[in-house]
Amino acid sequence: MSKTYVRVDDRLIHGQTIVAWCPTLSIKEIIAIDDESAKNSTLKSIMKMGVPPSYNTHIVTTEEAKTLLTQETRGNRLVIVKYPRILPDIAEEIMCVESIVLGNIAKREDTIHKVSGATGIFYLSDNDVTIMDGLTSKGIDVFFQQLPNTSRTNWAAFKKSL
Amino acid sequence: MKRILVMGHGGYAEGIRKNIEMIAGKSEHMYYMDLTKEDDLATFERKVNCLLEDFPGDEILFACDLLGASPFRVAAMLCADHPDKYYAVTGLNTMAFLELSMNMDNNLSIAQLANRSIDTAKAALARFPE
Repeated sequence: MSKTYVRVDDRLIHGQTIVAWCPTLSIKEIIAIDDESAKNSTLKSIMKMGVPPSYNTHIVTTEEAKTLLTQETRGNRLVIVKYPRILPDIAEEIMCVESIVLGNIAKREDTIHKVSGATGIFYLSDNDVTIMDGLTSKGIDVFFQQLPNTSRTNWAAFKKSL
Repeated sequence: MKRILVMGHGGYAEGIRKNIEMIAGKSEHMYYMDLTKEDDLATFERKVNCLLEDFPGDEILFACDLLGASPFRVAAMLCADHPDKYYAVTGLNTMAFLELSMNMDNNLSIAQLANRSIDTAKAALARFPE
């Protein structure tokens, strides 16, 4: 049966995802959700340039993603969002995912928490923490991990460090 | 005037700069910019735009480390906004950078320069013994 993974990464589709995560998770389909990118055809074609044609790649709005996520898929699927705040909008569609992997997010005005790794940094606001708490309480496995071969910090361990 | 902007992740550009300057010395038309893990894309984009503001009307060749990655994405968006003036290439090696650094053939258009850098990079790949 096909599996779905979610990654939170403000660079959306980029090197770490394509070179490392997709092969490791045997991904066949990539659904990158970003309203702004989805509406910019130049940016869309540039982002797709770096993705090998063997992947079925979609760069879509949140609404379009909801439709895609209800459709059956043959291989494993990777859903990428830029920020945690997108996740509540697709909460129903991602209830059965294998895990939510928190990758990279640069500093924003309200980000007062930070998880730093060798290959990136993930900044979170209080609101981000609340959102992720909500998802973990529904039984979804959430952890910070930049690359498949770097260390993993699970959500509970991060919460203890606060 | 034609200018080269080398861009990459985490010290790539700085590494290329040291590499090229050790072999060929400083070059006035070469610029180097790295995306750090602290930067978001908007910050990086601002830095690039800030540099380019000094060269209105010039032709730019972006030499990026990795196809599809963030520095390339920034370069490609700029190329889309500056047709025939800006080009981007990825994955060049020392031989190609040396050529760009030392031998800016003014008879070449920026598009031809982009093609030549790719050809040179490919020609520099080798195995020994063959």
